[in-house]
Amino acid sequence: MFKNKVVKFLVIGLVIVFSGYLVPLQHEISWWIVLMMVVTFGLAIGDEKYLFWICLLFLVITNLVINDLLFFRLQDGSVTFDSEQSFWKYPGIEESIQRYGEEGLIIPFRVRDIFYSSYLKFFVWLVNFSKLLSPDFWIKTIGFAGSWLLILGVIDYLKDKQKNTKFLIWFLLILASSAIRMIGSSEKFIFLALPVIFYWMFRGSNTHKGSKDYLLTVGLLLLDFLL
Amino acid sequence: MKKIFYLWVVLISLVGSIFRIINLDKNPVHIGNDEISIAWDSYSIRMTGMDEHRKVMPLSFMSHRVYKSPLYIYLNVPFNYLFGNNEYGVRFLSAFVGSLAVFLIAMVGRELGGDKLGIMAAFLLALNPKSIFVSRMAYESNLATVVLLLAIYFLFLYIRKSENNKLILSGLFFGLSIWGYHTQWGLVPLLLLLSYWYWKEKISFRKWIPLWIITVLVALPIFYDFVMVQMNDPFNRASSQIWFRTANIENYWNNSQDCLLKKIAHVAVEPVYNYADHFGLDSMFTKGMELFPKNEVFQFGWFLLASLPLLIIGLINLRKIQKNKSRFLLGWWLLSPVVPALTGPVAEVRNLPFIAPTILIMAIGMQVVFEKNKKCFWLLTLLIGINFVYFAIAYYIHFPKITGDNYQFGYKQAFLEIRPMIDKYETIVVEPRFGEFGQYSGLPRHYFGYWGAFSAWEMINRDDESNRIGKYWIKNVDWNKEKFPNNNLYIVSISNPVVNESVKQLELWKKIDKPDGKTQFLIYIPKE
Repeated sequence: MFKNKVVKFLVIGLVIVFSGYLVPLQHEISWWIVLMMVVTFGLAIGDEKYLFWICLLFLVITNLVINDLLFFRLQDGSVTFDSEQSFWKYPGIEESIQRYGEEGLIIPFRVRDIFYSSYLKFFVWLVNFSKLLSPDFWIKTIGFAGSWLLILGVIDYLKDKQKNTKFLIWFLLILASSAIRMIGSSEKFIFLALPVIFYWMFRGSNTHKGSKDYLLTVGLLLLDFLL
Repeated sequence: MKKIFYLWVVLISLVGSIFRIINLDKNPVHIGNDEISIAWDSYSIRMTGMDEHRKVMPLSFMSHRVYKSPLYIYLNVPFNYLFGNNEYGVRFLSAFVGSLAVFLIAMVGRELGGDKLGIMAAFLLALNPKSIFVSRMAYESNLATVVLLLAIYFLFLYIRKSENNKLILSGLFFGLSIWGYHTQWGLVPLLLLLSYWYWKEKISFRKWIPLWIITVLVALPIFYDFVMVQMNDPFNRASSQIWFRTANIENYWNNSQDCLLKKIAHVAVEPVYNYADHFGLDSMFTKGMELFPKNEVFQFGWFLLASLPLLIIGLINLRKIQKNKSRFLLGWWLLSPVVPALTGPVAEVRNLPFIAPTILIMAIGMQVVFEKNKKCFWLLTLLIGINFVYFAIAYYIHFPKITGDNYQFGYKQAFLEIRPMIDKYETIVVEPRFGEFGQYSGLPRHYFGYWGAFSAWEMINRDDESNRIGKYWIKNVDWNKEKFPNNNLYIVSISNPVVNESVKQLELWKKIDKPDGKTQFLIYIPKE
């Protein structure tokens, strides 16, 4: 059943991704955006370097749009960025840095300027970013079977000395731009990362462990369906 | 080389102990909820040989039906005698064993991979935020974790030297760690199985038996006591901590429309989510400590963020150390969160045994970097140092200012304020509620008793129905019903200022403010 790679791709990859976890999110994102990103991804992993960087720029903009941070109004051609929903201008953060600066009076004035500056906001972004890289987030987003194959695939990919780093850059950039948003659902970004996730899961299913323990994958898949 | 090793380790341990002991009475700002129970029980045992519920030398301390592990309380008795009833009298033991852990992890690291590994492990643990945090509070879990580390150290010594006294000591400490905290009840058997599994070819089955017997014999009274508690008090709080008896899951089970099979699957996988949560980058490196409110700029994980590369490099290079030892270390790391995951997501102290193997893996990573690229090693060490400075500023300067409510701030200060004039009043009324809206319920009885309001015997002989101990009356005040036949002093929550008729009879004498400047308690005395 899992010998044929195409069948593997269809059966494992597609079913895992749509085993229930992402279905509720499908209504929140237009199918044409997903299709557009697949095409963009196709262009990005080609040989043309400049095309790759253009595609990445496009990817970040699209991600900000679906995360409700960036808005385009076609009527008047205006572009707005909801900075209050981003870590940089989120209400209370600037004030807290100021408050900490005042509390830290025992530190000499010059040193205090080093410790209590706007760059501290970067830590807030880092917290968001690390959340998106955590295993429990991925289990809740693409299920047990999906996470299992993803882990196998990522390990196999990282071990590969000939690996195409564009996949990793694509994926991390999506996470990094999604972490800009402070509150609300950020799982929608998964749809932009689908090509990479598919690739890694497919790779995971082709590893020695993935092929040998395919019954485990099927078992986890059943559990995902049940949940 | 041996001398240099000890010199480094003692030096690092001393530095580590400074971070753990400095300002122990001021940070955290007030003795916390769990701490005061331990403090009181320890004091009560010292003075009367009984806990507050009149149990003579109990094997679990009922407290608020949580049935606390006994090791910390008994070991703290000499410290309570030495320092008296104050913060040092309950926290010093934890700070001391936390500092000892730095030395111990060096010894374990040395057994795993040599002197350098030991020194690096000590360095990483000395600066570990979570270890510092828990060592500055009276946590049974911290003590149990250090006792477990001792057991593992003697186990490694036995494996290397085959001396039976090391095996006996290992069994003794494994058993004692079960006296220390509930996590060890499940973790110790798993580690014993693991050690047998990985060294069964080197050490025959017969030779393992004394270790298991000693562990079981030492731990047996605790399990016997557990059975008795379950029989006598089946609805105790401790038994509701298992994941399928938590409020969320019970609510889902009783009210969800899902089919039975789905319900079973949903409940069954909950510990898996909890387990994965322990390995999350966020809980490990960026926000797991939860020192500050959500979305604040200062957030820290259980480990310094700068040590993340060391963990990755360490995991990749686990094979650098002896095969069985690396497997045991990995197993220890992976098994540590199993028991806590059965109770819920990452909690404040349940998963403390997770720290030691993580630090050891990081130390392996650090050693690899040291051997391969000295510049990179010093750069990483510098980054870890900078990261620690940030943690130290956040923890030692800002943390005490925002955490009043978390530690029931105000009871100590209120008692110290009224102490000189207690004799003037017939009754001292103290409200257990506190917080801006009176939303929390505290333990004034224990705080006031611990700071000297009444003796351990008075506590034991109290009348539970009236909530009175001597001249102290613990109750939430309803000003509409309050009568003033006597000469009363009131300590009430900021949420419950005096109203109506009482305004004519009482005057505000003092406010007890939290470190953030907000008022916690109001003290009223009769008008002259």
